[in-house]
Amino acid sequence: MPAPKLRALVAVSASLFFAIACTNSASPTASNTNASTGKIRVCIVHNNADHPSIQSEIKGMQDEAKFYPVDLHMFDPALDPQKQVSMILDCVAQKYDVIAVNAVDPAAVVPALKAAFQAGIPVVMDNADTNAEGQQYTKTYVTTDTYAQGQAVGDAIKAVMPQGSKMVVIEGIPGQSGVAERLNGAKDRLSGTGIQFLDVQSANWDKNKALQVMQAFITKYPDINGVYAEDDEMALGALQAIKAANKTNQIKVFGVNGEKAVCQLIKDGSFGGTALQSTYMVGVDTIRAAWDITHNRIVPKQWIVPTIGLTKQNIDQYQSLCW
Amino acid sequence: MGGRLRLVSRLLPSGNQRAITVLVIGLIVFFSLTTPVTFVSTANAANLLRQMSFNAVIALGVVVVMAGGGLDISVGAVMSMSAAVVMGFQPHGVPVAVVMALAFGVAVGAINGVMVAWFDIVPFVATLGTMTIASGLVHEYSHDMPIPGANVAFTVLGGGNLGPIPVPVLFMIGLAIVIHVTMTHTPFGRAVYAVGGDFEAARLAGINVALTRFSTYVISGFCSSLAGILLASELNTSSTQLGIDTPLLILAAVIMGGASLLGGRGTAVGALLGVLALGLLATGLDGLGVQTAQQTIIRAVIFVAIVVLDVVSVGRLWARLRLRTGLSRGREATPM
Repeated sequence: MPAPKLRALVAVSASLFFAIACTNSASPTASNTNASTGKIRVCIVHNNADHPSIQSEIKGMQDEAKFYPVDLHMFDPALDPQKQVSMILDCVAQKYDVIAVNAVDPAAVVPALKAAFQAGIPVVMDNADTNAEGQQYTKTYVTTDTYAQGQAVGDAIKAVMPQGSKMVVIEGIPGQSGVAERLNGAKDRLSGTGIQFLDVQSANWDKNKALQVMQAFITKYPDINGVYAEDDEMALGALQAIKAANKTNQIKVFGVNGEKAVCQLIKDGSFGGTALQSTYMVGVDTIRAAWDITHNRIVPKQWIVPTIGLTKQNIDQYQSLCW
Repeated sequence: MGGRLRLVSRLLPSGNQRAITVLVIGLIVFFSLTTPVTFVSTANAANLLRQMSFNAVIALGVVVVMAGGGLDISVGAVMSMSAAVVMGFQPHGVPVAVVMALAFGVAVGAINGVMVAWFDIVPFVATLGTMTIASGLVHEYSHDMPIPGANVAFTVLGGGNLGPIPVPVLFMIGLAIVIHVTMTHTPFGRAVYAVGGDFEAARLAGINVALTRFSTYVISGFCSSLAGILLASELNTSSTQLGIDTPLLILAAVIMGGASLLGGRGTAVGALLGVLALGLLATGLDGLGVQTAQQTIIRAVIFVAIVVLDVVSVGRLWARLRLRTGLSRGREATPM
C-alpha cells in the first residue's frame, strides 16, 4: 500500500478517534467505581519502586488491600518527575477513585495534583509530600515523621559517638520533603554536644552513588569518625567504602529505615544505629486513608506513623520490626 | 493460495514507516476496544498529546541528525540543562530566560557539529562527551536543587491550552511542519538525505558535507532546548532527574518511525508516529493496569519487532516462500 494512502488512513483513524473522544466527553466525570461490587480503584504512583523502603510500603498496601474491596494499580516513574506527572495525569484521565502519590519532586507534581483536584479525584500523598502550593489539592499526607527520624538518629549518635566527633552526611534527593527534616532533626539533637557535621553531599538515595560519595569524603576528611546517611541503602553503600578503605574501626555508620540487614549489623556492632521507618505502615495507612476518603470519613491533613531509634542497646527489643 | 499470499504480503508491509503506521492504528483500535471508557475520552486524548509533545519536539531534531548520517545522544542532558537555565534566568524576564535556554541548546549542537563534521569524531563519542558535560552542568548550575518558577505566565507554554488544544501540542505541530517542509522541499533537506546516504557521493555532487552535518546538530540542539523550555513550563520547576532516559526513548521512537542508524532515512511524520506509538503504549497499558516493569518489556519487544521488520523485508520473504512452494500461478516450483 503506497505511503500516502497509509498516511490518509492514519489521518482518518485519528479523526475517528477524536470524534469518538468528543462524543464521549459528555459522559460524567464521576468516579469509575464498580457499582455492582462496590470496589474502588486506587492508582498508586510511587517515586521509585526499586528501593527497599518502597517495596516495604508496597507490601503494606497489598496486605491492607486484602481487607477492603479495592483494585490497586501501581506505577513507577523511577525518580523521573516528568514520568510521574504523566502517570498521574493518565490516572486522572482514566477516572480512578483515588490517586496516591509519593512525590519525586514536590513542585513538579503540582500541576498534576491540580488536574486531579479539578477532576474531583481525591489525592493521598504518601511518603514524600508536595509543596505548600500542591497541598491545597491533596486530602492527606501519610508519612513517618522524618524530623523525628532525624532526632532519633541524633539520639543514637549521641549515645554511640564520643563528644567532639567529626562526621559527614550523605543525604537524599535535595528538595524532596523529608531530606532537610532528617538532617535538621539530627542537628537539633546534637546541638551543644560538640559533634560536628563537616560536610553534606547528596547521593540521591542511591547505594552506589553513596559509595562514591563516601570514598570522596574519606579522601577529603581522613580524620572523620562517623557518617550519617539519610537512608539505610546509602548507609550500606558508605559502609562498603569504609570497608574498602580499612577504616571500619575508625568510622561509625548511621542510617534511617530499619532494614533487616542493617539491624543485624547494629546487633553485630558494625553499624552505629538507625531510625526505624515503618514504610510498611505507611502503605497500610495509605489504603486506609483511600478507603476513608471515598466513604466521606474525616481524615487528618497529616497521618503520622511513629518512629523508633535503634542502637545496640535496644536492637533485641525491636529487631522483629525491621524489614 | 497465491491470491491469499498476495493479500498477506500487502497486509504485512515492508519498511518501518508502514509498520509503525499499522502499529499506531492497531494500538488505537485495541485500547479503544479494551478500555473504551478511559481510553476514548477528550481528557485522555489531550493528556496523551501533551505528554508526547515534549518527546516529539526532541525527536523532530534527532530525525534530522539521523537522516544526515549522525547520532545525538546529548538530547536528554541538553533538555535538562535548558530547563534549568530557563528557570534560573526567569528573574531577568521570561524572554531573556527563553533566549538563554535556546542559546544553550544551539551552542551544544554547534559543539557537537564541529566535533563530528570537522574533527571527524564518531557521533556517538562526541555527543556522549557533551551529554556528560551537560549532565554535570545541570548539577553544578542548580546545586542539585530543583529551581522553582518565578513567573506564573511562563507556565502557559507547557501547561496552558488554546481552546481544547494544549499549547505544547501547537509547538509540536508547528515544528513538525517546519521540519517536514525543510526536509522535503528545500535544497538543505535534499542535501541532508544525500549526505546521510553517502558522504563521498554527496561531496562529489558538490554538497558541503561538513556544513550540512554541522547544521543538523544545531537543529537537534535547538529542538532539545525547546523541549526543555516546554517541560520546565509544564512542571514549573527544573530537576536534575529530567531527561535521563530520553536518549534511548527518542532513539527507539525515531527508528520505529523509519530513521536508520546508517543514515539517509527518516521523516518528520515517521518521528511523530514513533513517539505517538510509544505514547499510546504508555497510556493504554496504564489504563489496563499493566505494571511499569512489564510495560518496559512490552515496549522493548515491539521495538525489536519493528526494527526486525525493517531489516527483513517481509515482501521478499513471501516472494521466496511462493517460489519454494510453487504457489506462483502456472509455474513449477523452482529448486532453491
